[in-house]
Amino acid sequence: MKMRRLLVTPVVLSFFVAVLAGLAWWAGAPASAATTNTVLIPVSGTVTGLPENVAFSGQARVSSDLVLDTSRFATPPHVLLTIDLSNVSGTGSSTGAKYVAGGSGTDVRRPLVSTDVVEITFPFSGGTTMSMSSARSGVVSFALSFDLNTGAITKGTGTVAAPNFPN
Amino acid sequence: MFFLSNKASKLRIREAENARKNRLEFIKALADGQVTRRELIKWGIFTAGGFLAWKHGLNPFVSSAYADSIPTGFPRSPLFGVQAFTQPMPRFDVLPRNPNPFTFLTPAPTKEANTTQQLLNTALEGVTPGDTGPIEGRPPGPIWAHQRFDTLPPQIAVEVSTEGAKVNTVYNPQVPSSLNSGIDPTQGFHPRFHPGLPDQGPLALWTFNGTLPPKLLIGRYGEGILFRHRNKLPFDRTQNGGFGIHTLSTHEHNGHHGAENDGFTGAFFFPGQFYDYHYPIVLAGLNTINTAASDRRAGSPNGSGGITNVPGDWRETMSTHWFHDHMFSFTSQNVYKGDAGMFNIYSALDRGNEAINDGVNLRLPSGTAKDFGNLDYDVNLMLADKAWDANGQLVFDIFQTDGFLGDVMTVNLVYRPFFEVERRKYRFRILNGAVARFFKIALSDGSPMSFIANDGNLVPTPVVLTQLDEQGIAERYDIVIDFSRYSIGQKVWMVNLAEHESGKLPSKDLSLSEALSGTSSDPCVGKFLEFRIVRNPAQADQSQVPATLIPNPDLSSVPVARTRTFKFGDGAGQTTNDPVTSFRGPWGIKTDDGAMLAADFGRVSAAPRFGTREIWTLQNDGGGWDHPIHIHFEEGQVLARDGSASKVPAWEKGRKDVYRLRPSGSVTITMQFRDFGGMFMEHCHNTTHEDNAMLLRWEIDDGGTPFLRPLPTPIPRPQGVTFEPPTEVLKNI
Repeated sequence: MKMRRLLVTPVVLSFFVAVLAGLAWWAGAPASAATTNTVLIPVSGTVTGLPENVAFSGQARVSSDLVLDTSRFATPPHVLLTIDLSNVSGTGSSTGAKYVAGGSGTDVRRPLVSTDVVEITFPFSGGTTMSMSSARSGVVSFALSFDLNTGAITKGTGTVAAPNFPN
Repeated sequence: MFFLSNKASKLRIREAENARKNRLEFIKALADGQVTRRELIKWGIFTAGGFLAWKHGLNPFVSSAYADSIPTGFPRSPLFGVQAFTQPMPRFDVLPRNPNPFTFLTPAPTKEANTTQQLLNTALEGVTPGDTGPIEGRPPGPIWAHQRFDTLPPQIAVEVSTEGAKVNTVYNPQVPSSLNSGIDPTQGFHPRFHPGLPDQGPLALWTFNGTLPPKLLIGRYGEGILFRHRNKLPFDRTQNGGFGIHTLSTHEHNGHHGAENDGFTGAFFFPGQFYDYHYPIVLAGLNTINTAASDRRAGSPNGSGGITNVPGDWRETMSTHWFHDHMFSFTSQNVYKGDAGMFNIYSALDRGNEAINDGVNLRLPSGTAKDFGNLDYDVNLMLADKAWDANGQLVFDIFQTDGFLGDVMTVNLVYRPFFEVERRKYRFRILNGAVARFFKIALSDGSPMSFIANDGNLVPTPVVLTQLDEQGIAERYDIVIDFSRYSIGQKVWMVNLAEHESGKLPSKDLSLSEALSGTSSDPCVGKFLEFRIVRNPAQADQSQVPATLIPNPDLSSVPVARTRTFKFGDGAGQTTNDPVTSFRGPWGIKTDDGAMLAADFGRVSAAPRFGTREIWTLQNDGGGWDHPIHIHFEEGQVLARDGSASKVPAWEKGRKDVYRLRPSGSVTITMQFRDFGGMFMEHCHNTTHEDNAMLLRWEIDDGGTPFLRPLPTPIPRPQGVTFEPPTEVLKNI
């Protein structure tokens, strides 16, 4: 086995170095605990489509958990966002009927950057509870600003639209 | 970017290929027995900072010896000109069920392991000419005897093997070709990821019965199965195609069975042997709840439209399991190599018949022709990322301890297929069968889906979603998609939104727009399964998704006997040195604020008392990784995430057996320990982490006969299994 012949000696010679490096590596401190910040973000916009257009408004509750990695991996900071649309509702343009938005608790993992556009889809249906049989979907696009030290959302707006994805 | 771009320079690709070959030299030396994994670890090959890494590009923790980050060291898997969505997705291959195991199987199954001697093949490790060993690899004697074998004898025999890849001439999807995207099962199903890709060789791909598609086991409550698993892998351990090991231990994932049937990581068996697993398929609590079997909701399809009542708690009904290899420190390799299947369990509540309206049956999408287990509109999906070499043969990097990632998406072990559907509701049982990759699934048009089951357990209330939560390795998400919203001729795709840069955790959840844009550096992001809406349903869709499915068991009157905390992290130490049971690796588990310990299946880390309830908190000890933690045998209810009940999302409010911790996060669960005893496991189901060495043993050692505390550890050899005392018993277990 040719590699073995080539490698054993360097391995043995470097063993103590590797151990020292390994000690430093294995002793890496765990990541700091996540800290949660929650904000209310105004949301508005219209989902066009049949049987009628639906205009949404309300406040999304968006929680941000900052995750820092101080281990050997040094993964770049990121945020875990939990998006709750339970306080966002819609009104039908023709019937005036009420629509409820679902998908509350949608989790999104994003790298921490100063500004980010986070787009999620969400289901909605007429009435006060979500119904699969009549469910449609919309898109809400959040323009978010983050505090790079805490991961907290410092500014944000949400715009609702109809899904229009490339095939 | 973790795989080289197709646009990378020839020099870069050549260097990466050289690095891969260098690693394969190690792998081959490992397989040939010239060097052991223990030696490699001692030499520092698995650690960062070694000179070798920089000189030879061997160390996966270094971003790259050649500038760009290519932790796996692999060039992109060649596609041989094959395009996505040009082949049909095969349904699972249903395993034959044979009545009366005691006459069908030869030799007949026995309560204790069958220790009839056979002459051993001298290619097996440690075997000399003339050596004999038992025909069954199950540890012998009363401790590993089948529990409740006399009172719950098996009624169905299923006989399988694990062996090298070959053409499948007996493929049985149990649906007509029209419901299997036109696949003709009589044509011989080749072991390949696409008709335009090379067949996998018998050393590259090891599957159940040696064939594709993956296998589906069908069961129902109250009808025990004797699952005889024959090991037909090469006797010579070096005949492994560069990775994988020829010893096996098969875990029935989420099974509520005695430990002798759990696929304990140290209860492995050798080529030439079989292992009889006994799956009684009972409702948890059968000794204490509904013992007279008077509640029709605790029932099983009787074969003629009725219900056979069974004892136990109907709220413990389970539906979607899977089974896979659990060989100590080789699970990732053997499962990646193909040793995995799925298991649908049918019940009065979830019987796989959408027409029977008896007030109990939930009538989920399935079909109507058979009393139970109709698969017409109930589809198993196994998702897995793979990688292959220039010859199209599967490759794996054992040096990648962060988590091995493939660069090619497969569904049911074929490359990005299409699936023809009718304009009606379908149930999909989605298994994350990857090694280290998380998925996050949406439909390409953002359409709603009904989330109905988590880890095979119907949730209390279905949840309408347009994008599922991240799905960790081994998690099963059952969803219902209603294709009646589409027109004939339309297409819609399943899309993966979870982008990885390494196997430690997803780096980013993309939006649908981002995932569909084709700009991600992760080759497994984007569309991976195409649905083609081909016709109206031949019969009216009679299925339902009721507003209430299965509520959680009520534990309010069951006292909490004990709380425990387990922390999952890196920097693990090892306190034992048993050559068989202990392993060293970067990953480990702290039990109740003890030391971070690497795996040793001879160590007992916890021992809940039989018949009690406990609360366990599972903590991620770091922010640089995620861990999907699997606890064997008992399901749990999630009480809190990060200490808060309000952080438990709707789709996690049922029962589960895999808990994604999230970076620096925690999950608090409660479980009962009932009905059976023995030694079980708890581990990360990122199987790279599990194998290196984030796994512990816990046991219920006062629940069976004989009572022993602690239980002796099995030490398998071809000549027979011996027992030794535990290498260590943690304090206050």
